[in-house]
Amino acid sequence: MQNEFQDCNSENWSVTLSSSAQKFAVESMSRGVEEITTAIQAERKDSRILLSDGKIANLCKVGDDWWIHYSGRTHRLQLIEPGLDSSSDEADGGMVAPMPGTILDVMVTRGEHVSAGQALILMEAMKMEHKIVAPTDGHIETLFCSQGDRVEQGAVLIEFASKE
Amino acid sequence: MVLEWMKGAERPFDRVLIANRGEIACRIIRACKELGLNSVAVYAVDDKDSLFVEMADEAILLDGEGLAQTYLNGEQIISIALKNDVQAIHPGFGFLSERSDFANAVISAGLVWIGPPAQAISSMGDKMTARKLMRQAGVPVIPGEEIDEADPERELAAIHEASQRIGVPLMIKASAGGGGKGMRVVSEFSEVRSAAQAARREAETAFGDGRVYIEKMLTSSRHIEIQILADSFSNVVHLGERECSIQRRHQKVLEEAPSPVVSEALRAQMGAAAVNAAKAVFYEGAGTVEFLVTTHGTFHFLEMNTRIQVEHPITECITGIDIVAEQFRIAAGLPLNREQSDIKINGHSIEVRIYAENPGSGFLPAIGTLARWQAPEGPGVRVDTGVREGDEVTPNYDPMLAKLIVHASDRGAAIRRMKRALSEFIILGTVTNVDFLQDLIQHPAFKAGKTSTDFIAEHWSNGWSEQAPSVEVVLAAAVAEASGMQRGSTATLSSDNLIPLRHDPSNPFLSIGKRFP
Repeated sequence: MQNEFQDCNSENWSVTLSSSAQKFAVESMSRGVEEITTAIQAERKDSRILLSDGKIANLCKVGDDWWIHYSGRTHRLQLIEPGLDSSSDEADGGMVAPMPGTILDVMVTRGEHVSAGQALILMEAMKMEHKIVAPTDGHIETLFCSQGDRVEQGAVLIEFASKE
Repeated sequence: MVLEWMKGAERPFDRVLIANRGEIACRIIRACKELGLNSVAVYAVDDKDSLFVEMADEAILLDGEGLAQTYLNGEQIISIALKNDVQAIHPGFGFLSERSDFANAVISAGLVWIGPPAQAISSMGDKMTARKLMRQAGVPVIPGEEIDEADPERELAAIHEASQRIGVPLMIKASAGGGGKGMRVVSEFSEVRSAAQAARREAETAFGDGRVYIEKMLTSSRHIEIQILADSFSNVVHLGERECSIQRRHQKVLEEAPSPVVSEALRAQMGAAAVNAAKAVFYEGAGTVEFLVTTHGTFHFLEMNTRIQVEHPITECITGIDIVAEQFRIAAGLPLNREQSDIKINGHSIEVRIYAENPGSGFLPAIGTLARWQAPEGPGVRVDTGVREGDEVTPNYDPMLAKLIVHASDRGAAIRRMKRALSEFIILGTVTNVDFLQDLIQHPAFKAGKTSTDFIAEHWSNGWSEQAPSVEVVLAAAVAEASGMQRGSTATLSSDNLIPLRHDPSNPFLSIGKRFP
C-alpha cells in the first residue's frame, strides 16, 4: 500500500505501509529525497487513528485533501493520485469543484474527446466564475453534474481520462 | 399571563423577534428559553439550514435576497413582527442594532425595543456630537477638534489650523464614520490637505455626510472598554473593563477581562467616566464605552457602542451577570436589581474569536465545509457559536465561526485553560485561525500582559506559518487512506438540498456524497 501526499510547504511525502491484524506499520517513508525510518504503528478506529505514541488523530477527507487533527494542531495533506505526473496540479480521474458553487455551463458531453486547456465546465463560486479545463488531451469518461446544480467543495464533477 | 420575573414591569412581553442571525441569534434564543420567552427568528433563504433557525421556537423566511432586502430590511421585519403577535424586537449586534430610525420605527409600531433610546443611538453614532457631549459631561476625550465649517475652502483652512495646534501624527475621521471608512492617518503636515479631502470624499460617498474631525494619534495605546447597564430610572452601573487590544485588520481577535494593566483605582475612574457618558445621553440598556489607554495610564473616550458586544461573555464570566437577560429586564421596564457595590470581579476570563480565515496568508477569509466540528468541553469552557458539523462556510456573511471563552481563578490559569481548550477544538474541512490562536496565547509577550493594538503586526511582522506535519500526521493520513476511512464514517452530509438525492439511485450525487466523511 503506497500513498503520496503533499504538505503545506509543498513537500512530497511517500509512505508504504504494511499491515497485520488491523495494525499498520511503516515499511518505507520519504519526504522529498530524505528517507525516514520510524517504528511507530497505527490502527484505525472509526474516524480516528490510534497511534502507538498513545495519541489519537482525528481525520476526514474532503475532495483530495486529508484533514488531520493531531496533538492539538490541524494539518492538511493533499493526496496525490497514483500514476499521476506529480508535476501536474490537475487531478486525472475525478475533477473536483474547487469551492462550493453553482454550475453555470457544462460544455462537453460524455465520451467527448477534448484537448489540453479546453474548457469543460463553467462554475460560479464566491461571486466569481471559475473555468474547469482539461489538464491534457483525453476524453470525458463520466459527467456528474449538469447546468444549475449546486455543488459542494470537493464534489467530483467529471471523470476524466487522459490520452495515453 | 405575565412571566414571574416580569411581574410589575411597565412593558411586559413574552414573545421576542430576533432581528439577527448566526452566533448572536443563538445566544439570544438561549436567553429567551431560560427566561420563558417565546423566540421568533427571521432568516434569509440562504440561512434556511442554519442552526439559529432550528433553535428558535418559530422561524419566518424573509423575502428577497442580499442584506438590504433581508437582515437590513427594517420595514419587512417590523411587519413580520406585527403579523406574528411579536411584542419585542432584539437586534443583536451589527445589522440594524445601531440604526436610530429602526429603533424609532419599532417603538412607533407599538413594539418593545430591546436597546437604548433612539436619541442615545444617534448622539453616540455621530462622533462629533458624541465628543462634544462627552466633554460637557467631564469625560476625557482624545485631544482634537471638531470642524464646523460648511464652506469647503474654509473647512480646509480650519483643518489646517487645527492640525497645527494638535500636532502630528494625527487622524482625520468622519463624524458619521465607522469600520475604518472616512478615516486618514496623517504623519506630515504637508499631507493634511489631501488627507482631509480624501476623508471627506469617502465619508460623503459612504454616509452622505462629509463632516470630519481631527484627533491626535495615540500610538501603542491599548483598547480598553467598560460595560455598563442602565435602567429606565436613571440608575447606571458598570461591570468593569474588557481589554480588547489584540486585533488584526482593525477587528478584535482576543479579549480578556479584567485587563492586566488596569488597577482597582483606574477601574473606578474609567467606570465612573463610562457611567457619566451613559448618563449624558440618557442611556438605557446594555452599552459599552470604549477608551484608548496610553502607556502613561491616561484614558480617553473613543466611542460608545449602543448595543450588546461580541465579547460580552467575558464580562458575564467574571461578574456572574447575564447581560442579555439584563437587556430583557431593562427593556421590560424593570429597575436594575443591583448597585455598584454589589458588582464583584471573580477570576479571569479570556475570549478568542474562531474565524474561518487563513492566518498563513494575511488572515484572508476562507470558505469550505465544516466536515468535522468538535468543540472543547470541560471545566470553565464556554463555546458560543452559530454553526455545527456539516455546515457550509459561505462568503455571504461574517467569517466568525465561534467564540471560545474560558474562565479561571487568575490570568495564568485562564491562559493554560485556553491553551487546553484550543488544542481540543477539532475543525476539519475549513481553514481556521485555531492554530494561530494557540501560538498567540503562548507568546511570552502575551503571557507578560504586554498587549497593544499593534501586537500581531509587531510580533508576526513577516506573517505566521503553520507547523509542518510530523511523521505521525503523515502516517495517520496514510492509514486512513489505506483503510478506506472516507467511505466508512458515520457523519452525513448536512445540506438539506442534497438529502433527497440520496433516495434516487440513478443520481450521481450519491457517489459524491460518499466522498464526504
